[in-house]
Order: sequence, then C-alpha cells, then structure tokens
Amino acid sequence: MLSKVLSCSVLGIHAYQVYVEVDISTGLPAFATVGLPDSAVRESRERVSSAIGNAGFRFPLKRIIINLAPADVPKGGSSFDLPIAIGILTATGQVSDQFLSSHLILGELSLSGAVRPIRGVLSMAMAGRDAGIRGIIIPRENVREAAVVSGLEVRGVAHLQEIAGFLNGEVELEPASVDIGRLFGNPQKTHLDFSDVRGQEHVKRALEVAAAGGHNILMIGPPGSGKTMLARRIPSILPDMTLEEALETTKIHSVSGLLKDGAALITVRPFRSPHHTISDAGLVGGGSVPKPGEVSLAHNGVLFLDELPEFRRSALEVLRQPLEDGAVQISRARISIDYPSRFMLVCAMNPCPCGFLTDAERGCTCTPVQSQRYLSKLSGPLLDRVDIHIEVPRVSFKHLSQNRGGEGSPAIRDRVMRCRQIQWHRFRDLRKVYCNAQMGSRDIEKYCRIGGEAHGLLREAIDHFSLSARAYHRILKLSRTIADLDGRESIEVRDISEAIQYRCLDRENRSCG
Amino acid sequence: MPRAERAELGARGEELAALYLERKGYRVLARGYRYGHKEIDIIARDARSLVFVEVKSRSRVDGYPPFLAVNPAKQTQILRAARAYLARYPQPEGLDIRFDVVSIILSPEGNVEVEHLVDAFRPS
Repeated sequence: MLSKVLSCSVLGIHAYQVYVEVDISTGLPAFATVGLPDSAVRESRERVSSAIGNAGFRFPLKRIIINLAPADVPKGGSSFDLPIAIGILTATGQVSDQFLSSHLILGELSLSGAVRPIRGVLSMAMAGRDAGIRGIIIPRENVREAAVVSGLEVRGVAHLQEIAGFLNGEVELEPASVDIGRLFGNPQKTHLDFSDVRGQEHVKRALEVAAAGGHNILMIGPPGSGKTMLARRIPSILPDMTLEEALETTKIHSVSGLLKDGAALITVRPFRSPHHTISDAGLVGGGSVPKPGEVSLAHNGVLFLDELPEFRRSALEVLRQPLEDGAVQISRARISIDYPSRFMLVCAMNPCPCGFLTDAERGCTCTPVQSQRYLSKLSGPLLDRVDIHIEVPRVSFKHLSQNRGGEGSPAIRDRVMRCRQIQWHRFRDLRKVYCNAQMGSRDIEKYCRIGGEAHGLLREAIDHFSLSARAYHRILKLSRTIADLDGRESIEVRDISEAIQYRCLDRENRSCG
Repeated sequence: MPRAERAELGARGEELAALYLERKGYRVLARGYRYGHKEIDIIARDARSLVFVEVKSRSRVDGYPPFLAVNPAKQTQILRAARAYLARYPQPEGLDIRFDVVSIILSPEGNVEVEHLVDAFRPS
C-alpha cells in the first residue's frame, strides 16, 4: 500500500517541496525513515504512532517505510510528523487521499494527536503558491502567518482527527484570510521617543542624517551620556516597512522560530542588540544546523553593537561580508545557503578604557598605551564601513533638568521619510542601491557634484586632516543626504562642512579627544 | 520446582492458552513451532492479524509480571523464529503481524487465571 503526501522543508529562508512517500507491506513490524532525516525526524516514529492510536485510528503492525524525497537533501525538524501520519492513514485506507495531490501538509504532532506549530510557515506558503499548489494545511497557530500569501488556500488544524475529517470530506474547513491593509494600516507604534532624551541635539541631528540616508554610525562618549538610549530610539524615526520588506523580515524571523504563535506579519523594523560575548556564528549565522544570525535578524532594521571594542575581533571581522554584500553565504559540505542581511549598523563605545577621555570635568585615568590599545581594537576595514563617527558628550545639568526633551520622533520621521522618497526616486533604475549610503563611486560622481566653494572646502579638509579617498567619498555621500534633508538638489558648503564634522576619527591621531 | 514438574506445568499451560485463544475466536495454526533452538509456543490467526504467542505458566501469583519474563534475549529468539516461519509460509497481503504474551497461573487446587497481553512487544 503506497501513499504520497506533499510537504515542504526550509533551507535558509526559502522552502522547497518534499514528497513524503509511505510504503506499507506485510512483514515484521518495522518503521524506517530514509531521505537523510535528522534526529527530530527519526523521532517522529514515536510521536506518529502514539498520535494515531490516541486519535482513534489504527496503527498498522506492518513493515512501514517512509521516504522523504528528494533523498539527497538533509531533512530536519518536526514538521514532517503530520504528513507522515496522514501518509500512513491514507495508505491503510483509513483516510481518503482525494486532496493529497493538491495540498501541502505540515505540522508537528503531540502524543495526543494534537497538531503543534512549526517554523518557517511563511516561506513554505510562498513556495507552495509559486509551485501552483492549490492549498496548504498547517497547524492552527501558524495560520495567520501563512494567510498573508495570496493565491493559496490556507487551512489550519488543531488535531489529527480534524484534518482526517476534512480529507475524508466529512468536515468543512474554511480557508483563512488576513486583511493585509489592516495589518499595515495599524503599524505597531513603539513607545520610545527621541524627546525622552534631554539635550544632545547635535547627536540627534547626526542620527537623523544616518536614518535618512541609511548611513552606518558610531557614537563615542563617556558612560551615561545616552548612547544606548538614543540607539534604542532610532526605529522610531525610521520609515515604515514596505510589504515586501515586511514579508522578508517575517520569513527570517519565522525560520528562526522567533515569530510568536498567532502572529501574522512583522510590521515594525527589527532592532537587534546582541551582547558583546556573541560568537561569530551567532552574529552572522551558521552553526552545525545553519540558522540566521543577528545580522539577518536585523535585516531591514537596525543592528546595535554596544561596547564595540568588547566584541571579539573575529566577530567584527565576519561582519565585513554582510556589510559589503547585504547578504551572508554559509557553505556546508552538501549545500550553500544565502541569508539576506541589509541593516543599519549603529555602534557605541567609550573613548578610552575608563571612559572619560572626552569628559572635561572627570578627566581620563588611562595611560596613553591603554588608550591606544583600546582604540586599535577597531579594525580599519570595519571603521571604513561606518559613515558617521560622532562624539557624544556628557549631558549638562542644565539640559537634564529641562522639562521638554526637544523634538518628538514623529516630526523627525516625517523628514526622514521625505528624504527617503527622494532617494527611491533617484535610484529607481538601479538594482542594488536603495539609499545614499549604498552609492558606489560611479553613482557618487553622478549624483554628488559640488560647486567651486564647496570643492575648495573639501580639498582643504582633505589636506589638513590627511583624509583618504574613502573618507572623501563618505563625505560626499553624507553631504548628499544632508542636502536632500533640506530639500535641495545642489550640495553647498554648509552640507560639506556638516559632513566633515561627522568624520571625527579620520584625523590622524585617530581619537576624538 | 523440579524440572519434570516444571515441564508438565508448561505443557498444561500451553494447552490452556491454546484453548483460551480458540474460545476468543482465534484459529491456532501451529504449536511449538521450532526453528533450530528457537521455538514459538503458539501461532494463531484472527481476521486481520497473524499472532506469535509466547506462553508463560506459573503455579501461583508471585508478583512477577509475566511479560517481564520475556526479556530482550527471549524476544530476539522469538523474532528469529518468526522470521523463519514467515519465510517458509508467506502470508497474505494486508495482515498485521503481532507478538502476544499469554500468562497462565495454575494453582495446585486447579484454579486457572489467564492474562492475555496483546501486542506485548515489537521488533526494535
């Protein structure tokens, strides 16, 4: 007795079809699973047999072989429990196979026969839709996540008996639907606001420029100056995600098991703040069972590295590929996986080991050697990819005791959005460029032309501070954003002048003090 | 218990087990099927299953559950014999194959207690 159930598996953030073949023949009771199953898949034998028994069906005491095709790709996870159980039930004639060729079936089974939620459902639904499958049957808790995919009938089940009833034609199951317009119309509002931070107008302006142009930023200042507080409020001034960005982000979080049960779509830009003891694989992705890293979880959002010099050197080194390519490629013996990782990098650090190098009142207690060693922990190539370096001073008492904290986030965000729109329009014909920060040298030549006076200032700065070519390009990009924020086509002296201020580490002695 | 008595008890137990199974609707196909050293006490059929039965006989209740006496070593023996039987006598399609244990407690006074453990073990 042979039965074939359509199912899915996820590799990276994309899903591909898996055929669950069940062959039952007379012989000493045996249960073998082939097709490179991992431990969780092999364990499904116990879950499936208990679930079938407890759901009131008969578990055949025969020779059962399960093949997960394609046979040369490793299969993992517990989402094959349900298709295996259905395969056994249809092969023994206990459940009808009329819908098997038109529906994908996925889910974990508990011993009672209840169906439990799984990861990566959004990717699976999209794969099913793209393959022309009519419908997908998944755990009830995953329904809203899959329902955002149009062109596919999404049905959720809570128990083995329920799906059996539907397949037999005894029970009607309405396909679920989700109102995307409503999901997007009400983006989750964060309660954090820029006005929570007193003073620091200069830094707030730098953050606004960073957000507007997609520039990476490094904040340097003594402990307690508000670096972390400001970083956490950056998402409140970033534009809302587009549907495409939301789908991508949701896929990544779903595959990592971070999507809450019942959640439909992530509509808020992610803010990831890994601790500085994180491993390379934790930061970029990988591990023996490949998983997305923090850089991918921050895709379309913000990656905040607090206490930057405390991170392992190797971890900072592996950041280079995602920063350069906007994606991470993880290779294993059999397969190669791509994870997207386009994010805004925000770093924070003290100017020296004790932290008070730039604090006029407290004074620094580090020796020059200590300071030098501390700062040299930052690799040139990493710093090269950070457009803005800014000093964050200690907040004066005058500012701390103010009642109002300056401009609120909504106003800043409006300006950021308008600036972003200018960039979307500017780069509409280019494929890999979405914002000013991503411009290559040719784009800079085309879009960042400057007049005589501005040119003169820039040349002076380069000579005086011995700036590199990279710094020169950075300053031009920043000037472009600053001019855009002001709604101007032409870049003027004041834009260049402001941009130069954001390169405090470019000075020869490489300190902000 | 001396060997002769034990053997007698075992034989009586198997008799009773076979009778019990027939009363329950099974058809006994073979008794004492030998394959080399290994032996299967009873092979029986019902509508949908072929059952290999191991009979355990006791003279009194001693708190020792009968199925525990069918330890992994014994199970392997039974499985080997079962495979040999199936190779020799191929079975119709669609039949479940099962391993049961029937425990008979035969008291000196002549009281009989039967316990039938269906699907007592499966090949691992």
